[in-house]
Amino acid sequence: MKQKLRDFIKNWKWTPAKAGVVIGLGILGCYFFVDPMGMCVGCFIGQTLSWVEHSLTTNAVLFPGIPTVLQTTVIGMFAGALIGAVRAKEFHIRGGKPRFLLTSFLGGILISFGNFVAGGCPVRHGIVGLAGLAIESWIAFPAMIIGILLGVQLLRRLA
Amino acid sequence: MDSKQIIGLAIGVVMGYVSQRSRFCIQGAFRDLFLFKNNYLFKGYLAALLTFALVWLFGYRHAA
Repeated sequence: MKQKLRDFIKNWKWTPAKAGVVIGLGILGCYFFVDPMGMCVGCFIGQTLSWVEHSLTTNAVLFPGIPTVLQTTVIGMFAGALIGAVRAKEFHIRGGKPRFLLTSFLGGILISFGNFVAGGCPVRHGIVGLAGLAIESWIAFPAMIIGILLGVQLLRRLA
Repeated sequence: MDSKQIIGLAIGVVMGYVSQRSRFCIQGAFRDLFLFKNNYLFKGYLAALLTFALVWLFGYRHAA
């Protein structure tokens, strides 16, 4: 029995389907305990930036020393990913071709622009919104899939 | 640090670890589905959506 349990733990592999269950529960936990936006790196960093801007433009105290809920969640997410990478001995610093670095830079700008202008977040629309039957999400998520199809066509043309 | 911050940190660590180990990605799921006809990541998205929807429904009924 003990050996069986040890084998089970040793052979456990996080496939996306198993991870999806944990991530669904995690987003639900974030929804109830942290912030009704669900779980989003972009949104949380955006809120942090607007908090800094608010501190700079008003007479509020800048950096009160206590990280907010959103900041600790984002820090925790990076820390968890780092722990996973180091434990699996996957952690190393990767270089890249200049073209790849440039496309990463432009893609990063595009995704944040879409996020802050229109809330284009696959977690917020694809999971929280679709499950919560929000009309905007039922419009936004098919539009996101159209965007992915356009990107796939572009990749096929380039390749 | 408030208890809320600790909960946020804990949820963040768990989700970061799990998504790093499994390569979970929603946009990547659709990219693999359309580009390579590969549903490996898409199962992860469906599992997350179903879990969220079911627990949401159950919790909503019992909270109301």
